[in-house]
Amino acid sequence: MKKNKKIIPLFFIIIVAFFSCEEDIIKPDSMRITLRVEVIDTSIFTKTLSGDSLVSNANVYINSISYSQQKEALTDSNGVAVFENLLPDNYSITISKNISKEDAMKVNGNYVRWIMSNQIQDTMLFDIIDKEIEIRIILKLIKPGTLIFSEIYYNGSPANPIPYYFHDQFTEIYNNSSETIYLDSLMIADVDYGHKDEDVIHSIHSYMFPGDGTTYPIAPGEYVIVAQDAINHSEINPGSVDLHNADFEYYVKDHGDVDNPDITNMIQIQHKYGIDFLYSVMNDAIVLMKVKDPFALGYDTFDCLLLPKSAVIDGVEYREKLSEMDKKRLDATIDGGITGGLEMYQGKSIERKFERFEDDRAILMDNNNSSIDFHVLDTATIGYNYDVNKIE
Amino acid sequence: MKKLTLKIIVVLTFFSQSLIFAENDYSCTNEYLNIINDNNILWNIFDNEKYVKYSFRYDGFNGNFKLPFEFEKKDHLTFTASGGKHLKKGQFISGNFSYHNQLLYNKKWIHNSVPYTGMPFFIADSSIGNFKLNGISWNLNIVNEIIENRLNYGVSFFYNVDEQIKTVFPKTIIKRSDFSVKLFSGIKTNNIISTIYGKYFNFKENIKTSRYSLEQGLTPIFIKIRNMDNPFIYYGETSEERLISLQGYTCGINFRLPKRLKLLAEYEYAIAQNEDGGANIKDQGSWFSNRFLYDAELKLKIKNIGINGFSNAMINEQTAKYPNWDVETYEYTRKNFTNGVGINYCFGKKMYIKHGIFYSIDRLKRIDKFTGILQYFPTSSLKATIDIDYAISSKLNSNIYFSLKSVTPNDNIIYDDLTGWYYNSITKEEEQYYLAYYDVYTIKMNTSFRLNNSIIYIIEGKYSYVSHNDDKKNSLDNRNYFSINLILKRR
Repeated sequence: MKKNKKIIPLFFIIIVAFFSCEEDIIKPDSMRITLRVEVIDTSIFTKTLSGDSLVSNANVYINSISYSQQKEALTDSNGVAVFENLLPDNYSITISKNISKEDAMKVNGNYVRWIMSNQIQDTMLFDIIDKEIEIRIILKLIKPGTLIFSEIYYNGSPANPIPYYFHDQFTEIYNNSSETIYLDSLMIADVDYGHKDEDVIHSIHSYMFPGDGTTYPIAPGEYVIVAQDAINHSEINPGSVDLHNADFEYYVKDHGDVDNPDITNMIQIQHKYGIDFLYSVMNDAIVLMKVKDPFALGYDTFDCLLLPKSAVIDGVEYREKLSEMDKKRLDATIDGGITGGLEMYQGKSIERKFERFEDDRAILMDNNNSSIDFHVLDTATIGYNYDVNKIE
Repeated sequence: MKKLTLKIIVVLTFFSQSLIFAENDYSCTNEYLNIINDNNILWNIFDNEKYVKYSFRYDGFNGNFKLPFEFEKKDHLTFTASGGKHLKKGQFISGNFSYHNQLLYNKKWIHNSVPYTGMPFFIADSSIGNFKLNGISWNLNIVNEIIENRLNYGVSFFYNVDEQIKTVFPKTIIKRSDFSVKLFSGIKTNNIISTIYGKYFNFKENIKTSRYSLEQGLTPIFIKIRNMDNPFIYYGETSEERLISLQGYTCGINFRLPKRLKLLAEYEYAIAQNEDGGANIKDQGSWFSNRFLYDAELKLKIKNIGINGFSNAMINEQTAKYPNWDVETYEYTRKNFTNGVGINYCFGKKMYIKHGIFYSIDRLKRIDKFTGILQYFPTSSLKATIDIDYAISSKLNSNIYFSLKSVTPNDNIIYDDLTGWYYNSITKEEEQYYLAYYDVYTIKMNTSFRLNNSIIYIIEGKYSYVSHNDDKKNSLDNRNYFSINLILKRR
């Protein structure tokens, strides 16, 4: 019993010691940051129009690479766009601003529209101490395209009844300029992933428009349709599109591909694999280009055709997941963004947005950034079908 | 007769004590590291007798009073063969071999085998499915005598290997291989028995999803969860893979004054790394855990009534670091503290009764320092037990145990500014669980039949019913746990 007298107090000391461990609960600080993007134009345009180099009313888009977060803001009169409560991550930042023909006329006397744009890809934004990050970006001047992709239907049809139906893909090309342009010898190509070359693109498939230079004109405000298979797909999969009146068709000889004899076939330049020129239903980049000699640069070690980047007239990149800016195939000089964000086989399509009318002719948005220029349609529309009442 | 009574007291107090730690058995939130927290060899380092034992055990859970990533239902079968014998004078070898077969029903998203260890890194897909597990485990213990019945030392090895398969697309395969080695030494004097031990463990969990192809007609969404919000989401293009490697050490001491005090103190340190393979490699960062526990029992005897005081506590602190930057982004603290008093007395020669009442405090704190989320859930619980041991005959003994535990959440604190979809759909559901008032009813029965001097048949059964008793309407209702263990032991 004497020994118990020593043990009992010890036992209760342990108990009291644990009872006295009170929790200290305070509101935690997050690691969220504030991003300030300062936009500067060192060309003559902004200085002439506003008196200094700070660019106001520029669109700034940021994409978090790890998280599904896209945000946009306009720069203020000091040329600064502010993003608050951002999670630390690697981000892509894209800036774009249009200079209208009227403004350009005031600056250099030429009645030509310009785009000011630039992009930073995959930059880490993290500051544990100040939690405020400032980035300064100088814009580059880019001339908008003349022939552009106005719609690309790559998504494929829902199973009705045939699953994985992708033969109804089509490409719509639009003349966004005020002059007639000839399609003859222009090329449509897709771009392989994983190449970082400065001057060339690596093409898996490339198809050329036929003609002797003046055979296939597109008037201002007109479009052409290039079908994967120029047939009425709604007869096979109700709800799909009718492409039997398409203007051109991809055709791969001796591979069991469908050939509509009434429709002009594109000329095969490069075809690495597949029974047809299939655009990926998930992730791909499509370019329109004019190349004098498509075989001049030869092939890479993976049998992709090398084509000069400088020959690209327009390009559009789409991905199933829009935040995957780190997996881009096209650089900012061709397409500074990504469009799509579609789960495959939904029958949806990507279409270029309407910008304004010019002499009753629709001018479509062209910032060289598909994140800004394109939107998603619930169903594919053959021909430019903007609804004036729903102009964004 | 005195000796027999004493033996009964020792056995029952040990049994009762083990109930305290086992009181959370109805839940599958038992910590991952506990899978080899078997200290029997340490307590009995000087009591080595030749034996052979076979057991068949079934454990089953069902009900929706659970955390969101826990399975809805579980069937688990274990066959175990174990034995021990003296290899030579002063050297005793023992061990067991087990086969496990488990089926989990409707487990949501997470591929990790044990979702609620506190470690905040998960790999998941968007489906809810069943998981099948088959596995085997070995345990081998060797005890050597240095001074006869005074000083022993030994080594214990444990190895577990199992494979778990998700039965629905993307057919995740989880392969685990767990290894531990423990060194221990015991000393015995006329009044004291004490054992010190050190253990190293290394657990590996390799998670792989099947390669995605269009023909499967499905588009899985893979989710990589880090901390408490803002997971990474990947629309399945191809396979995902993660290797979780967890290692650490434990050291501790067991101490007994056979008639007065029994004490166990243990410290554990663990570190884990997650390494991704597959299509979307994402660094997850590292995880650290410090855990301390003690378990004490004080025995008093006033005339023919035994009075026991119980106290045990566990403190577990975990942190996680961001992969690219050397900053702590997650903190987890769990503190559990239980005290109890038991009164034991005999009814005649055949019946022994023990009453117990226990009061527990449990505090759970989780902080996501990355997004600025804090959850603090303190609870208290009161538990009453009655434990009756009855010798029906010299060959037939039985034990029955009842308990009622009532858990009350105390004032919680939640800071959750700027939270996203994951927080609102999962973390909030976890809040609902931690804030619930509930009761746990448990009944255990144990019957042993001695066929002759060497063969004993034992049947152990347990049923627990967890019932949500809050007026608030939520999705939680109840959960049942049932186990039965059939044992054949030969000395």
